[in-house]
Amino acid sequence: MIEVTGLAKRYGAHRAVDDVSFTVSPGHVTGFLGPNGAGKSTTLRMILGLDVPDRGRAIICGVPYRTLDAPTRRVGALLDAPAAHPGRTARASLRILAAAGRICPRRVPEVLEQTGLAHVANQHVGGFSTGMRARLGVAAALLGDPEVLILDEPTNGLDPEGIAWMCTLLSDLAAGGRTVFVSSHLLGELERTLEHVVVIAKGRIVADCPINDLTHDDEPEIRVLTPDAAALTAAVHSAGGRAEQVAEDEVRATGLSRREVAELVNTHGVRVLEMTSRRSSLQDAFLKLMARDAQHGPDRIDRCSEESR
Amino acid sequence: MTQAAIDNAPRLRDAAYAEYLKVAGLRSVRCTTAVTVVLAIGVSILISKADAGRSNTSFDAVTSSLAGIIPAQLAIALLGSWTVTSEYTSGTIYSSLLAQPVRIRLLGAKLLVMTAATVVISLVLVGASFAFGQIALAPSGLSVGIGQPGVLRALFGAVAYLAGWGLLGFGSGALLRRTAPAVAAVVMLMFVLPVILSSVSFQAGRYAPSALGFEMFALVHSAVLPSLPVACSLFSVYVMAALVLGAARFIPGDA
Repeated sequence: MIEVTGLAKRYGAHRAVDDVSFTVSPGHVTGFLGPNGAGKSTTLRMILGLDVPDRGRAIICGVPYRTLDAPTRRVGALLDAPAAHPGRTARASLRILAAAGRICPRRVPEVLEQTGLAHVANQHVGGFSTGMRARLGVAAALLGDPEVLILDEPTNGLDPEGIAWMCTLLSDLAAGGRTVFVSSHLLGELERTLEHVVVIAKGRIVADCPINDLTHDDEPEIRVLTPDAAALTAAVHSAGGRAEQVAEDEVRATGLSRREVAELVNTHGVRVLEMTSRRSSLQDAFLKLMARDAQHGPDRIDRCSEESR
Repeated sequence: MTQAAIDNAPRLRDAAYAEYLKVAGLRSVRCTTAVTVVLAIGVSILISKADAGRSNTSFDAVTSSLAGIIPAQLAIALLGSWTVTSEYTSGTIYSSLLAQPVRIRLLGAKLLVMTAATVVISLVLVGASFAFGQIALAPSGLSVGIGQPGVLRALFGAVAYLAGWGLLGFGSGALLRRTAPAVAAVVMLMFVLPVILSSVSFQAGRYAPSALGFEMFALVHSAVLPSLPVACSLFSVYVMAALVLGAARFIPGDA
């Protein structure tokens, strides 16, 4: 459980994080999404007691991070900074972290195995690929078998196989009752793993809701393959929707629900070869959210963040 | 929770053990240390041999055999600052702070391990330099024995002086965080400050840390230098100032 209340941090005149509040619950993967420079890393660093907030507070496992008794056994973190010195082996790096956190050294081979690094355990980290470094960072986060995981851009530098591995790992960890909080600026990669999202832009939270609320579109795009394209276009227009005939036998309708379009088809006797509706992807929803935010200024809080409270 | 959480919370001991693993685990550190010790002993023998051929009225057999301290003090100061700056340049300071968020405890653990390491290195270096130096001086009848009055005190003074440079380096590392500025600060303090102070006046030049060191490990008290208690106290003030400044930067604020 992570609880952030009224967190604010400025660097000079730049408001990096501005009155940010949200809660991350256990049992599912929560995404922390936003473009580069939105304040994700700064927020995570304040949660982890590395940076000191100007205002507000962050509570993790019931207390501020710095007062946790055995922090790396309660909270595992992956930051954008490397967790290992290039001159040390993967095993030696993890042994140091185990010693510092008073974690049983038997966990070192376990996490090396879990992250697929067992075969390079005795190689120097300096020779690691970006993907291997990312895996080592995850190994370091998992070392203390923590109940809370905070991962800053864990998919950075991972190949598609690595991303699939990461998604499975995160889902499994969350399914085991852990709190998993993952930041990302790339949205497609984690989309199927996330259940809840907190979206930050320009240091402010613009959405905090289940991912379905974000991708659930009130205006799905409905694509109909029909020999009666002109008739359907006219029918949609008369029903108050928008329709565009994109090909001789294809109409794309928006502004109406699927049910409304289906009823139009029925009442107007339109012959239908195929009808599909496209769910908007997280990427689309995100871009829409950013555009709305830019239009209405940063003070606007998205409707779903109000609903979810 | 699983087996990992059965133990108690990490203490200073655990942080110190982790710091020990960090220092001892890097081949570059082990190599640099070995080269420094060998080089310093070599310099001591070389100077002692040269001094053996000279006739000098105010000859100090201890100072002569400890000439290797001059190159060694720089290496030890750099090792001291490295124990902090390496964590910042590699970025591992964050994982260190995540494991031990009580920053004074992390800094204390680093200080403890660094001090222990420099004292051990200095003991070996000073002991060997003295032994080989006296062997080189023996044919000309200038050598002194370890049992002679003041000799042991001078040798311990030399160890304290070297370890003090380790602490000065450590403080500048904690204060400046990056290797290049920390090294620059050490070089300024060690080599540039004495020159500037001496240019101001001869009196002022005697209070530079490296000038105080000559009093700390001399067998024969030099009339031009401050007395031993003054030298030791003043050198401690330099060391304390560096450590306080380093801690003042390390403990509060953003990591």
